[in-house]
Amino acid sequence: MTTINVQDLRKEFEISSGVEVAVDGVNLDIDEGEFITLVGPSGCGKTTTLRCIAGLEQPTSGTIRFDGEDVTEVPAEKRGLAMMFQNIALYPHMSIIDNIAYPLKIRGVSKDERYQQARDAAEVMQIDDMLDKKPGDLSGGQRQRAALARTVVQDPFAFLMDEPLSDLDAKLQIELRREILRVHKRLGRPTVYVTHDQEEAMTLSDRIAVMNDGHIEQFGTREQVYYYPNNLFVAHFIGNPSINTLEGELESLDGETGRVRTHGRTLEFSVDRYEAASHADDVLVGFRPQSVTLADLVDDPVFDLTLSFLEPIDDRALARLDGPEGELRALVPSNQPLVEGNEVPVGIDTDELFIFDATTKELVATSGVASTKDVSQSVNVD
Amino acid sequence: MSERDHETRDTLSSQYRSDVPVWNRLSYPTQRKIRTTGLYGILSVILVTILFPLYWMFITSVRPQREVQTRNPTVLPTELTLENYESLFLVSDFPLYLQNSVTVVIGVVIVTTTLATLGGYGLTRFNIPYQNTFARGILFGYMFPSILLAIPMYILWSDIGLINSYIGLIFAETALALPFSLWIMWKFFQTVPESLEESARVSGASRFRTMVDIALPIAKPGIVAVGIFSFAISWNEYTLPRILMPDADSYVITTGIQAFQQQNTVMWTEIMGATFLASLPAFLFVYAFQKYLLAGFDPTDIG
Repeated sequence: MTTINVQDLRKEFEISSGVEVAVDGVNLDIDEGEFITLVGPSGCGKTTTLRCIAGLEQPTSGTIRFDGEDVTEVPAEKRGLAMMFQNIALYPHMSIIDNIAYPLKIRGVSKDERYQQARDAAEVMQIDDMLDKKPGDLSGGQRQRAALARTVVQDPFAFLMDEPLSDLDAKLQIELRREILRVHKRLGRPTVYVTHDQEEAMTLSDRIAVMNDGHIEQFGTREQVYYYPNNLFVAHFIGNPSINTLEGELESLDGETGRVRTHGRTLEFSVDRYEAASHADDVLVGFRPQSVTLADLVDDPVFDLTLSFLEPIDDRALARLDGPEGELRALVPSNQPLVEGNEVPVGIDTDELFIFDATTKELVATSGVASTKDVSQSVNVD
Repeated sequence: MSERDHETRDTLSSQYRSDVPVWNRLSYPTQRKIRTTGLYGILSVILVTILFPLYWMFITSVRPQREVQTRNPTVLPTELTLENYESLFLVSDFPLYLQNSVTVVIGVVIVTTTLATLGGYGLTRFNIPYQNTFARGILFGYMFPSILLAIPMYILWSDIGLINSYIGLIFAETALALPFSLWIMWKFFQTVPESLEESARVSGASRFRTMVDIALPIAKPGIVAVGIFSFAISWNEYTLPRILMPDADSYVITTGIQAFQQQNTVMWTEIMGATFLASLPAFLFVYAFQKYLLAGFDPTDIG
């Protein structure tokens, strides 16, 4: 059942040189208990969309409905939401317990009761020994825990989060991600989470809305956006390191098999998904660094390329190669003996290709076997 | 070998010694001692210059009349008396002047802090056309000397019957104190992150509640600074009360003190007694709130 519905949302800002369209025709349906992430590069309108849902911005046009009721004109304080901000937004002049209890104070809950609830929430967040301190005395992670506790006591209609973790270091990010997910699952309220970090989006969300330039490029489960990106932008944005593309020409393509010629080599592949809509023969062949193999692991080399740079990550290493159209990236086992500067044979797994139309940048086909890419259900959905 | 080295270094040193300024030839402890002594020397001169008139003011007020009007004044008094204060409070109109001053000051402080706080909040939180130009333009109003405003004010005030009234002087002095106060609050509210208020609004607080619960407590140092500033402006103001409060019954302290001078004799002892009393509240006020005052003029230092 849909709880939050955003329809044709448009938001314009007046700037000195005219009008800037921050959000242009965004549609979102958020189901009960769903964790939705709005992800995209900075300036893509994701935060503006969130602020419109929160009521902190007035949309230029479009409607926002909560449980089918139009709330577009309802002020922020009457929407019954809870929001976390990037700069944490704890009130510096109040102690942590007062901060956590503040939403209850507004509702006129008695002091004893709201302190009791604040203490309970703080205990869950493991900051119960910080209650009498001021926000300034807490570390970044503790502050964000307190802010999370403050949203929990509200028992809101939905949680809104505006890049709450982006100011924390990597380890704390992962720790607090888990806390946010825990809260989300315990309370079962819809959560809209804004981030520019695709990894955060992938780990947290039931569904991801990839935004660019004020509109949604694709809205689907993580498997959908990863394995079946609608277009080149989504393919580029989701996945780390980002996808490789080469110009190519389709020799044949139908629902079963396809042949594409790129830089003098022909790749044959079996088709997994085929968007039958008309398309030109000029295409872009996309393949993730994970499906590139090098040197002795290659069965059927496609190219011989110079290895320019090797960055070990963990048990894998990111290899950068001088490809025919600039850099090609490959993820290889870090214990594979490779020497920078040498020419190495490069193999591409033809079961994991993405074919994009060269002019419209839309997805034409993917290769491989559908059963290995389970998209029926996201792992976060209980 | 090492001996020869030593010798060479010595000769090199002595060769360049005359080039080193005298100051650098002193050891660091000596340098520090000289620097400290010098600093304290300058400080004492400044202190004496500032404090001696204050001392003289106080000491004149507790001396008998004859010891003041003499050809051979002494720095230390030979006889202390409170008779000057007695006459100040029991004979002269000083209590009336004091009452007038206090009434006006309270009015000015309340009106100025209220308007400056609301205005500063509005200037940072609402979209007003030419907001920044307006906010900077306000400061321009502070550039006018009070004498320039006093004459037009007198004409205006007498037309609407506000001459010799508390309300009239409160409004006039507020006009002096408000521009800078508004500017302080404008700067101060800029440092209060809007997300704090937005967070409170999403939690269910109305805009007004948000201002009272979140913005005002954080801006407290600024509000206190504005209070002290407007107090000082009003307490020390001479020109406006001189022109807008011409009746002897309406004198405030600054104009009242001058009245002691306009009779047959200059009553130095009473003048100094009144001046001393007039300077006390300012001193106590600033001393009590100096923590806020410094924080208030430096809005970057919050939280």
